[in-house]
Amino acid sequence: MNAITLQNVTKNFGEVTAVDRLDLEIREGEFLTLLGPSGCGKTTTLRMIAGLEDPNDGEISTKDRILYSKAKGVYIPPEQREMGFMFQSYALWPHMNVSKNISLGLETKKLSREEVNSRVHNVLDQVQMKGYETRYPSELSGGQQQRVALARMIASETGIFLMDEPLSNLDALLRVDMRSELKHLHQTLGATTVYVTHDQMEALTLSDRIVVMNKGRIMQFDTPAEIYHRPKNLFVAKFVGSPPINLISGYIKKRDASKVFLENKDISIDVSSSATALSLADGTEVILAIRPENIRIGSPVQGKPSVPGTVYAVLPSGSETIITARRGESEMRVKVSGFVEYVIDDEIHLEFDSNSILFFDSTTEELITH
Amino acid sequence: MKPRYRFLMSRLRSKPELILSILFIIVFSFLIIVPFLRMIYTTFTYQGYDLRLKRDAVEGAFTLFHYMRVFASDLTEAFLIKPLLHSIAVGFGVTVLAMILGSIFAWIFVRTDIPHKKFFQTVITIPYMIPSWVIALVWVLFFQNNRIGGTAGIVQSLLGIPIPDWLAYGYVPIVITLGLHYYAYTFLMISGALRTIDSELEEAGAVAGLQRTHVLMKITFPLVLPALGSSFVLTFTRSMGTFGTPALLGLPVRFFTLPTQIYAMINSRNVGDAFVLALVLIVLAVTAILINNKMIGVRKSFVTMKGKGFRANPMKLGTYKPLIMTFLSVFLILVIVLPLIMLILSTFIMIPDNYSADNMTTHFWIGDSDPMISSGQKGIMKNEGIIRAMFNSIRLGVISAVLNAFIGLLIGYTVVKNRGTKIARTIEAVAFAPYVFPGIAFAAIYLGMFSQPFGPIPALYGTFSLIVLIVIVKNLPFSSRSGISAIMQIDASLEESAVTQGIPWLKRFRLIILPLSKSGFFSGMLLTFITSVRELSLVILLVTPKTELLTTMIFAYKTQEQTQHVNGVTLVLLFIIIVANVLIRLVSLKSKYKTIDIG
Repeated sequence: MNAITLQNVTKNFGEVTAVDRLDLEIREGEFLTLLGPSGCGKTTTLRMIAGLEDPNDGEISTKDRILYSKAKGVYIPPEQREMGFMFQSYALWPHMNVSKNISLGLETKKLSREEVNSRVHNVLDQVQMKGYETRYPSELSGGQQQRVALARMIASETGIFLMDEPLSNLDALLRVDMRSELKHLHQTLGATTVYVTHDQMEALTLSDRIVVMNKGRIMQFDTPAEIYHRPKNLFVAKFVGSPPINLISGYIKKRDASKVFLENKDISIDVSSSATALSLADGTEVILAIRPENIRIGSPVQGKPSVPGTVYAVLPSGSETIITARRGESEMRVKVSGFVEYVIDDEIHLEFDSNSILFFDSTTEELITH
Repeated sequence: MKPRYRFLMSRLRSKPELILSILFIIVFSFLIIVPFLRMIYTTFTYQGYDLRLKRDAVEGAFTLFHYMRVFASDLTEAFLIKPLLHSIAVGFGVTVLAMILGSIFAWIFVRTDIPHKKFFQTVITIPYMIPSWVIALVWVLFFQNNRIGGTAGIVQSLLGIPIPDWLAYGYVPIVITLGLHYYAYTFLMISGALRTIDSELEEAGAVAGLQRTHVLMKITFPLVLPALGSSFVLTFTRSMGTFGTPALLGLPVRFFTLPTQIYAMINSRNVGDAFVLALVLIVLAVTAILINNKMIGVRKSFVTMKGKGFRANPMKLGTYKPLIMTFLSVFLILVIVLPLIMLILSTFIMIPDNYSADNMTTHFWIGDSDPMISSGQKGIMKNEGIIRAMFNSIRLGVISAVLNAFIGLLIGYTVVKNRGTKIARTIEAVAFAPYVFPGIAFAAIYLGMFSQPFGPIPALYGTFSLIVLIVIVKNLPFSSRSGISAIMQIDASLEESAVTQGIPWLKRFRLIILPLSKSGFFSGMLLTFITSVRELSLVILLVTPKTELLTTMIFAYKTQEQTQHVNGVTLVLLFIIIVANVLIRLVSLKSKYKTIDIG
């Protein structure tokens, strides 16, 4: 069952097309993330679902009604859409205390005084903000304001939560904390959640499914594991993952039926162990992609994809160390666990895990599958 | 087409900013655009007045008669050239004087370690709160001579110095008295600009080896130049278009400026020519504003506002401190204290130019009617006419303050919510248009327009409502600006979060937008109150004995040369203005809510 459906939704701001003929089906109860760089249309999409922005074309509907359809002449104003929305800036009303911030919307719903009070009490309990009822927003820390905003959204019991980069104003430590809070909350409440972020880590950790967007269009719509391991195109590959995926441009050189190399002017890698590589024609221009954690530093083994390099920088961060190595104009990053030391300018040997190598078409930038 | 219609209607209903836009466009068309078009129309048609001059004229027929007469006839000199040159000369003289005084004060208060800064700064801006023509009244009190009607002023009667006509009336006193009003305006603008300059910029110049005068000329001056230019243009246009002072000090010697010329023409029912002159004034004002916008646009990048890391290093005055303190004190005594004392004193004197003790009387404040004294006018405290005028002034001030603040906030909401659209720009521009309308011409139009029922509005001729209406419209430029800036300060998400929680518009406006713009709302209200109670040129044509206001009362007493009543009623008006000012200060002191820091 789809909780929210978008069909052919387009939004222009003057000359600029922010969202371009977007189709999206959001399942009931899932945690769906719209991920992309700024200006990709993710926030606009979310705001159109909430009704804060009107599409120029297309149809938006929930499971029981159409919210917006120009063709059918249907328009449900945002006030009646029954969706919780959480803003990047939290948007708490500075002249109302915590409990008033939460109860104002409930009072409009004509609930009884007791019902309002008990809901305020419950949600504050849920977000661990009990005892702060009479505080004003300016008297709270960023993280506390965040919790109140969350409580306000939960209190309306709408079944659909829309969140616009809610963690981006928090400092790094608090952000990690809040991530697990959000995930836990989603699992307890089971509300359909549409979450907007430009932080790929946040998207990977929180979501059931991720929509990667660029320039108003969907680049890939998949589970986090698929997005991470099998990016459909170069954009997704580059956007997801930290440190970013390694890319080596070159062409396919076939020595014989079972011997295939990826070559450019600095490098020659034996990629015979990759089935994809074997299926490619001689001379095909491709981009080889491999994630830093799928490279090992070792010694050359015959028939395995590997490449020599010079240590350029070593960045240990405790649990892992990132080594940057260079070979001609190509630069590669390797992630190894633990605290490892290497000497700058030393020659090392990088060994690629053959199952993790991906090839992208140089012109279409699409993933090559065989 | 039915679903399409339903679709449009349901969208419109949930977009209050669109409904308000439509409403404002309709109302503004009625109250601003139509009057302006009528003004233009009048200049192109024969009016009743013209029939005496041109026998074959048909009232209402198209003609270039007025343009011919104003721009190309033997009357051009008297109608246009002289008043225009006078206006320009007045504007120029006033601006130069105001700029010199304003810059000196700005430099002293922003850049030096002068003691009692707060006190001096407050006192120095007093002339700006009171009507500009009050200083003209005081001038008359001091420098009147007995050659041109009336009695001798204080200087002549007490010191025995004969006052030449050029010092008593005309260009020189107009420039001086207006200069003493507008310096406060240039002071506020220039000190605002000076404050934004980080003294590190000047110190960097000093470190780089520049001499002190070089720093001033090469760094400080270029940085404040945009503000200087802009305050020059604005002071020039405003002083050129002012009415009260040239009327008080110019009319007795037939020194006409454009506004007083327009007034004289309208008084003699020659509205066609008057409106041509009004259009000349409007063109001048619009040109000045365009020049100003261009200047600000070009120089905007110069403004070095940074918010943080800002340091202003005051210059030590050292041995010059007593000198500058003396200068300030003498200035304040001469311009504020002494005039006020003499204004008060003059109301306790029976025969105007006699200052001996046995001539003192309280008659003009609490006396009963005496046919021998001032045509039997009762003392101010007992005078029903004055009390009614006071009541009317306060009523006008309160009504316009409240309504203007609300309308301004609604305009602000409409403009900000529709930001970037043509609708928003149109509403903003039209709401600003009354700024350039000369008050008297605007009033003359309203007088004609509302003498019969007009659209849904009944005939308002001679009513208090008409005065309220025109004052509100004339205040729109200010109230819409402050409304826009008030709404801009409220982050859009604060309202949107209420939208997503299903809170309807009226409730959002009442519970979120209004409270969050409260402090700007109240101070805007009090400022509007002050501008409304001191309004003269706009209302002078519209008052009737029943709707008389303090300002028009003062003007009426002035034409009857009842000096004590003029000055007494002026004191009443000043008292009201001062009370309002104290209230403003109290309100702006306690702006309560800090907005949340948005990352």
